[in-house]
Amino acid sequence: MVTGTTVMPLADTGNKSAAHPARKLSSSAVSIALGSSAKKRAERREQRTTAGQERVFTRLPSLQRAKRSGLQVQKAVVFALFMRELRTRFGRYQLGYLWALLEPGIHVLVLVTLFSFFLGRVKIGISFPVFFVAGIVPWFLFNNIAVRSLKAVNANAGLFNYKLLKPIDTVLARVALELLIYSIVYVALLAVVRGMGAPVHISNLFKLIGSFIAVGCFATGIGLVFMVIGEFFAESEKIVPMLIQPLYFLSGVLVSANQIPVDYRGYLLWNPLFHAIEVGRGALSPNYEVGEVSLFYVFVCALIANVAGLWVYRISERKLMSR
Amino acid sequence: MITLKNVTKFYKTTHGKHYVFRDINLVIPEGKSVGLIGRNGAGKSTLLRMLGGIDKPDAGEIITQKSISWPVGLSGGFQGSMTGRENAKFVCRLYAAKDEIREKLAYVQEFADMDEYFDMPVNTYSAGMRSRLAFGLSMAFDFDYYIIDEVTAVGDASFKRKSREIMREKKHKANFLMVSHNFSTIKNYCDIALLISRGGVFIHESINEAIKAYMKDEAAKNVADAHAIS
Repeated sequence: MVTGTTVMPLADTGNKSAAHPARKLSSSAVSIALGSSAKKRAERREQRTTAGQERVFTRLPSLQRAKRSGLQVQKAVVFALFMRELRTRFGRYQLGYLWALLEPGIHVLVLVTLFSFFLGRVKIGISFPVFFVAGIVPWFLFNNIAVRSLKAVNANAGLFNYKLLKPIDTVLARVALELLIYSIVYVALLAVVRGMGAPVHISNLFKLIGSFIAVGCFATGIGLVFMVIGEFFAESEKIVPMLIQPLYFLSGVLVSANQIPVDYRGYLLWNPLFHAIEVGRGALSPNYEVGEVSLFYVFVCALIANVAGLWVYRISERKLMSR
Repeated sequence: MITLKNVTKFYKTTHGKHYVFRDINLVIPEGKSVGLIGRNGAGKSTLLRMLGGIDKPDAGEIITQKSISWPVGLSGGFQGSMTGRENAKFVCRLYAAKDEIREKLAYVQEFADMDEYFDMPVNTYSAGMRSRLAFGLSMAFDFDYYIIDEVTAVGDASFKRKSREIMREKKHKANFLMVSHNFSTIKNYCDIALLISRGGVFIHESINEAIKAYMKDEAAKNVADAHAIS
């Protein structure tokens, strides 16, 4: 179909009607049902059809053609939001989408270089750049999802007029974007540190991916809770990031579990992020002494966080939409 | 058909709940375009939004199998830093199948007279251009019901004519749910009316009748006010 030679579809009723499943009447039946004026229009239409004119719109949107399932709709919505988010966040830059990777990539690389230089003293069976990459990337994933969820509803408020779009989709789209960005950043940084001479042995790919996904799931649950909090308490936008920052030091980004005195270790290991980061390190270096951590525990925490998140979301969805 | 069952809507104020609607029960019959009539602040827009599924009632439910549009001409969802095409594409991704997006975009560009502006950021648009884009985008989709909250004819004379034509066109296969302060617009596009008065929400088969009832309600209120003052 040549879309360039557009025919103004102003008087183009019939084609669309004919394509409608509920209106699959023969054109004569349509004209009887519509009365004489409609009949004239139908005739004119037929003449034009036979004249072989091009038409731009001959079909109805799938919305009506075939009812989409709730899941299909949500998938389409999250994808649309995902692309929009990508566009608005990075579209205005010269390097465009590359910034999506460069920004966190450079940030992490700088930290890794600094930490490796200043903190890389103790032998723990893993090269320091790898150790920090495995600590910082999951941390950024978690932190970004959590903090960005706070503003998810507010930033997309105008979009709830499209009723297919629910507040939860805004968080899911942000989660998807962060997951994509940081998984690429993760791979890219591992490649960089390896290129600089640090040994990277992915001894357990399953655990590495699992720990990353687990952080994403956990962050999603937290993000849902934060979305609701962020909407009802404007101050949370300032307070919550402040409260999350200390977690940086309590999540094993800079230390391994075994470096922490036994007296405190028990407390810190309530934190599922610590577990996930340690599991990831273990997967990246077979000689790394992984503390008493469990990926299973992270997933349990993620489950709890998501149940809690979905629950607060459920009771507040209506308020989130009609602000 | 749209069925309202015990629909209640209130807003929480410092003085407690302010009820906009209480236990509304009514049926909007198949194939009728509906004009919502009522004084300022009566809740026309709120009811319209609830009918459109954008706002949810606090109690009761609204049941329909029909597809209902977003508010026609809505430009609040546009992201200024994105181009017209990108904004339109976003909506297409929500409402259209993948293989239809290109034709929809071509239609919007053509209908809204966008030309090369279609690929420029929306925040460079004039107000009229924005409205044209928004209106064209709404018209690119076929819904069973179109939600129209005070659609004001936008653009120059030729665009206005085009808009009227496409609205008339849509009227043959779809229906409108419309709020307007202009009674003649409602008479033009609607078959029946919902009167939102102080006594509740009533459905009127005839728009003229609804307007009369509305005038009477307002007059009664004015008389009561006058008495209260004297």
